[in-house]
Amino acid sequence: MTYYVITFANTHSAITTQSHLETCANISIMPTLREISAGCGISIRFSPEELNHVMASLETWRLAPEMFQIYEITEKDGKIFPSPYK
Amino acid sequence: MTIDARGKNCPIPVIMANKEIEKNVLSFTILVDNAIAVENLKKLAQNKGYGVEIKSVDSDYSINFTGNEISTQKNTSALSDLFPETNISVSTTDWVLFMGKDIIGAGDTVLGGNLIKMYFYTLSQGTSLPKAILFMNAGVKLPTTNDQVIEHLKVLAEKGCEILVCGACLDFYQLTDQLQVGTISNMFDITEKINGASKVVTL
Repeated sequence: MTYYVITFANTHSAITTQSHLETCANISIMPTLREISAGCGISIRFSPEELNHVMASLETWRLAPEMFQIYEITEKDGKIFPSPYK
Repeated sequence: MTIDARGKNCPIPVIMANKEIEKNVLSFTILVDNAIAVENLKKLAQNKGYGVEIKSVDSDYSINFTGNEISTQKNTSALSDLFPETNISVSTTDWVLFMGKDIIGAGDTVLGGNLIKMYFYTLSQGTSLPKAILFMNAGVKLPTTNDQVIEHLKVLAEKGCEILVCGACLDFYQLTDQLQVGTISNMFDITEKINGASKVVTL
């Protein structure tokens, strides 16, 4: 299974970005994976089908690049493998 | 230190002793009142690299566990491998979760709303699940209108969690026809679940 998550440098950025993305993409909220453990505890999760919507929406969103990070997450045999996306 | 496990049937004394071993306690005494527990504790000690000294006191047994840094590092088998009966599955835990509101904690409702989504996400992925999840007052908004929480509750229900939702509360919030997961319940059943649980968690 593969999905994407966005982690944030702080909770406020996570919540405001969530409100922004909810209007144009199918996203959900999850705790930041311990395998990543960077940034704030709130992550935004979305499926590969939503990637284009999310990326387009983030381009119009005024959040400094250092405030968030997108990861591609692969789950295999119960293990989680995150890799930074872009 | 001494652990009193008298009156407790297996596998409880083994679980109690293993907790001390996991905390790297090198010397402790456990009191039990039956020979089966003694045999199982000896088996546990042997596997975990501890020595045992058993004393019989009246109808009870006092078992002194002693280990050292080197021998106890063996820690070969998981407790569930040694004693299959200690392998507590998701459906046998007896705690219940009571949700009297649709957020976690008091304070900012947006933050609290996110926290509750994350809590149910994490709970649904774990193995220590509540026997029942009880929704009352604004808590009934979760199994009716919160799409993400509903998905996590469906997973929990499949794993054996009973989901009970207060009927009077659904009616009050005019949400009765929107229940997506769980069953409509009443104060009698909900009180029974609370009284029968060893632990009630409320957020």
